[in-house]
Amino acid sequence: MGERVAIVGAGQTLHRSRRLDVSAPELIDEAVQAALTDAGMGPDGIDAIVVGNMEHFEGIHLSDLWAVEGTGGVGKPQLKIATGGTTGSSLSQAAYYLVASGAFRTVLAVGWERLSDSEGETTTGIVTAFDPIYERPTLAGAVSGLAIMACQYQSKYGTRPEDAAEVVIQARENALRNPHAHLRKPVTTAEVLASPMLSTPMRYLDMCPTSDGAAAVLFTSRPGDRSAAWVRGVSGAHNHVYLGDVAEGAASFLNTLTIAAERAYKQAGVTSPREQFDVVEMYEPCTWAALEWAESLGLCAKGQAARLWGEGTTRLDGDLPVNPSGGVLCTNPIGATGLVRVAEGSLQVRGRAGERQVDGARLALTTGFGGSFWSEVMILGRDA
Amino acid sequence: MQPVVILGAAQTRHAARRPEASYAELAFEVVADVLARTGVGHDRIDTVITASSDFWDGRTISDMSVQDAVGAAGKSASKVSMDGAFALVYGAARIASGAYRTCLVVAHGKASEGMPRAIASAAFDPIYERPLGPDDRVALGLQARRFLDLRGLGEEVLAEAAAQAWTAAASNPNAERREARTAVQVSSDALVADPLRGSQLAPDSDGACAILLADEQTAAQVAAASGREGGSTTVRLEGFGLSTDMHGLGDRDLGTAGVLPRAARSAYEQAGIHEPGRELDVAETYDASSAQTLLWREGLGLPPTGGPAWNPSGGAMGAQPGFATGLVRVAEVFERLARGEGRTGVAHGMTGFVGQAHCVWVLRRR
Repeated sequence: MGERVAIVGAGQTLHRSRRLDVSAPELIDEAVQAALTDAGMGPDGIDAIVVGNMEHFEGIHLSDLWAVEGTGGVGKPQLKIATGGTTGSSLSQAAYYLVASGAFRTVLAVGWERLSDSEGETTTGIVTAFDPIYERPTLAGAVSGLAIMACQYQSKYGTRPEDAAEVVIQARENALRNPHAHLRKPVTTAEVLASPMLSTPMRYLDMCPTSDGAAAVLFTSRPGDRSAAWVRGVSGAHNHVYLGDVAEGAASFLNTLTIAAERAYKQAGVTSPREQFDVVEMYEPCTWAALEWAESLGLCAKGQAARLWGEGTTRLDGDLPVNPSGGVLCTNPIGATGLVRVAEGSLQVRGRAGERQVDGARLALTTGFGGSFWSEVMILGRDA
Repeated sequence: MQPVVILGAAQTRHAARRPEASYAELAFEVVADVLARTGVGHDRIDTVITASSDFWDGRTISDMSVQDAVGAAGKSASKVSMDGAFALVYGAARIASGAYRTCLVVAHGKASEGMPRAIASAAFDPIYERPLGPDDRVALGLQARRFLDLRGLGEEVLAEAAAQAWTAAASNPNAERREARTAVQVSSDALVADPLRGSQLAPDSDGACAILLADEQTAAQVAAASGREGGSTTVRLEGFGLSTDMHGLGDRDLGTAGVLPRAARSAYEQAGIHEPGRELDVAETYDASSAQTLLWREGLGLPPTGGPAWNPSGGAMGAQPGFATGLVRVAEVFERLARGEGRTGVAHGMTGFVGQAHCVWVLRRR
């Protein structure tokens, strides 16, 4: 078997709608330096780098090589991973496998997105992910597929828009405690329900923003006496090409999350996720996704997620805090978003999450979402 | 990292245009072929790594559209957005981690559906470089000129290297260029980027490549099940190296092999190779120009003459199907070793202009 792998450092930028104060390499450097400082390590300790960024959003081809001075990759092995929304979680998994295989001792995962002054744009980029003939005319960007899922969920369980609104209300409250978060302003149910309709039933405030930001996480097989978050489970599940095929015959729209979670739970010895996890950092691109996917993860029974949020179980002081960072609903630097989940999960089990710390967190569940309804899962524990 | 076994490899017949196939169909073609060659079914493939470029495909999340073609549904898959030789590093690491027994690595590139020069220009810095109008061929020309000047060589060495590549490619059924040309012929066509002429540059091709990896135990089972003699033809990945250079063309000395020796050193060290010129039987490189043919040979620590069989497929000068190009080099070395033509080989992949990032693999038959 491979090496045991631990996270010993995590760094993030201040995520904002515009970071015009820095160039992309400088933005990346901000996250990399923060991760190195957190780990008490210099750049010489890094054996290889895994970089993630979405070229079409950025408008720069081979953006990993263009930004190499920010990643610290000059003279070093560097691999680029780009899988859409999952990019950040895919990065963390690539870094994990490169260390677990013994190929490298210490690998830095770096993800970033800088959309504010780029030639690219998220929605115009995502539209091209779909088949130009069969899907593009109807599936415009990230919103539409998620809206179809939300419609299906709503019709199955009769969930009300105000139930979904509770997710973003709690997320925004949490973001107030996270200095890195992009949207740090509370919202009310009335504001969510009055926000513009994007695609039924999804309104503007149900959807995540796009942010400028970067994240960096250090994976190593030799943590020494550093504070470590051990990787206890790693899994992913991918899907068919066409949206009409992805949920066919499945119990939930995101059946890949159930598949990936079950595999990772087995590795980590998790049999009762609701009781065993102390904190969840979930990739929820919209409020409705948080509800359905909490069920896909087995955190509650089918159709019961609205109660999980409604009764406050998911709050920072609740029984199972979900996204104490404010989640994707408050911060979404696309190539980094999945890695932010892993970074936050690692900070929680290392007891370094500051004002958003969940007391005594020992086991964290992190997820990534992207592509044609793909899922990736990483479980982090204080104990090896 | 523990050695990983190559169970099989497949590539398309690369061509300037494959209008009858989408790039997902190109990927499907090589996946179906490698499964047929190895007798392995999709149910035995644990994980999939693909390599493709969103810019080349004109599709964001370009791995999304090949998921069915590579059989990824329900499996854990990922995409390396670099040349396929780099994707093989991730594939091998997934197996060496002990988490997976088999991994299918698939790369595709379809130049005919895009505008390779315009795409290349989008990789230059938007403020400092792009307004000058550079593309990949401009960079290759600068590199070739600097290479000649640094060594006091004449343009005839570029023609000789190109003629050798054209001649080798002529006998490679998968190459796009299939006509032998002399040094005089390759010196007579128009200058594209001084000092390089059209036939001294790699073509823009449509094509794909797939390599199926397995751990030792699974490889033995597959060999036993197929009734073939497993031991004598088993080819392993025994060493790899990666290295990355600065981005700006002015920040590198283009007349040298840059950071390639660093990647080669790492691969040779892992494979226990001390004298590459003597110990290697075959070398395949991603040479985007005939100047690179000469530069990479030097960067891999090989003598100017003699040494291993040099780009017997014609190298990238014979066909350059985007991000599949480096993986094709590995496939070529694998096939040669599997046929018993030599025991040890080196394969080279590249991403970025004039060799900003290199990947070197050592393959050995046991």
